[in-house]
Amino acid sequence: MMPHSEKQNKKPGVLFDDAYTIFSEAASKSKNVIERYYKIGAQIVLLRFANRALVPLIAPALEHLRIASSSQKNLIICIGDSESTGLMLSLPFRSACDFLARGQLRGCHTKRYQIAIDRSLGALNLLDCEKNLAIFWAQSVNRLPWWVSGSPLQMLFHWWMHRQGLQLTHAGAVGTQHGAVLLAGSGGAGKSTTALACVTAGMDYLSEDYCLVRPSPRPCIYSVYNSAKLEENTLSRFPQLRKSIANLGRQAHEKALLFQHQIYPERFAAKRVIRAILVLQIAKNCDTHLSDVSSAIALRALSASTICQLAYAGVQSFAFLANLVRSIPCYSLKLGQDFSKIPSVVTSVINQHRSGCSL
Amino acid sequence: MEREVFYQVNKPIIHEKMEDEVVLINLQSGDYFNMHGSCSNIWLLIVACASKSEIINTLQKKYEGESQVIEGAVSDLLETLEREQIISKNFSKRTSKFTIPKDLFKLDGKKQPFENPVFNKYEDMQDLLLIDPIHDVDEYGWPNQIQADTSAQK
Repeated sequence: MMPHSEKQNKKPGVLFDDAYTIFSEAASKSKNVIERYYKIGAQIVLLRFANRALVPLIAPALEHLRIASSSQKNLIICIGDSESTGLMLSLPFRSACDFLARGQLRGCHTKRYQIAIDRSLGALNLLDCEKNLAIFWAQSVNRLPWWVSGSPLQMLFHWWMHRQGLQLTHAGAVGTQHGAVLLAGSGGAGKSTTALACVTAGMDYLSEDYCLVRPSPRPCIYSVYNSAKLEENTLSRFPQLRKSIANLGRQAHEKALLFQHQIYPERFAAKRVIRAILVLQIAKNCDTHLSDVSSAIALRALSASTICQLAYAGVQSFAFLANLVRSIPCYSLKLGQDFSKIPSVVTSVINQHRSGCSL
Repeated sequence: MEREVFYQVNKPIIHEKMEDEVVLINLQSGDYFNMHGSCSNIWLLIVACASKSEIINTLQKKYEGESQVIEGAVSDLLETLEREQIISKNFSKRTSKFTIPKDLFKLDGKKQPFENPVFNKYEDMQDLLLIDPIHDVDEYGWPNQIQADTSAQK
């Protein structure tokens, strides 16, 4: 492979077409293209894998939303990697100043195209909004970190769903037939613990980490991933889940990964009306209880990690979440030592704000 | 006579008004800021392209307090916002006359006691934002890198 003799900053459309050519060649070579259909946020999404290599890493977190094949396809995501296909997908040389924070590429966010590198995955993400066609290309399966299975294709879902009026949001979500609550807070705030306490008590599960939200006409949550990533101290509170850990051979620094759809398949909800936002905080010296919280604090809890972790998330995502926060009640949920009380507190919030209309 | 300077919000800053607070994010650094009370009102005036003297004059219509105290608070806050790279001075000629944004800034004739602006900064998101800028792509382009990566744990 020869270096380029001069800098070539190709236009995003050319980059996309080149990437799609690579994928098509890989798919043609493999003769083992795998297609899976999903209903995510009321959208039919087709994942087209060039071969089997990435299926075990990407498919499990979405399994609860899988549907039979459909003639309707709102979005097609083509998925492959350089190692298993033998085909290299690279960007031509760009200067370091062309790479922005969060893997964004200067000049690659247009009305039609979005392109970014997820450097933590070593993967390229490309979206053509006119064709509703996306590409996810990794360098190799082995290079992907353990947590990609927990929230795969995050960047592409964020970009495309935003254009459909949905915002991928860093929040947990649990509920009942009368609605659900968003569990807001950055890492360590207690989202996993709260979500698990609720689902083990029989409540509906929509999310532990990322979900889709839509503020209007009625604020709604849509489930995306059925995964949970747990620290050891959280897992120790739910020992019955140990036998369901998907990454048993994990290293010391890796969290335990579980797929809730395999453990509680009957407790999944694909969609619920949002009744409230709960800003979580661990409180060591008191019981679990609710208190008032300002909408500004709720916005910060909901948007901080969402915007900082998603490429091209900015003023629109922030405004989106601000509108959501303005439209629904917000509370602070202080998590005491006795986690068994959490489900009743959460259920009481849902019941207090239910309108009598269920989905 | 020195030309009156007004301020502009710097490009990586996004902001939303939530009830009587304002939340700001610096998309480049990952810093979050929160403003309460008189601080959020000063911010609204900055966004409306008010000059320093126009901010002070407008606050004196809304708040009861010594002129020196209000002036000092405004000066300190403007200095802080500049230091945090949230705003910068705009030396170009303003194209329209400043008007108080009535839908956001109500002057209902009743003055409130002036309280010092409350401005908070949160830096806990910096590590998330700075996790993936790329600085080490070689002449062959991405994904060829000069040094080996270490995987980031989420």
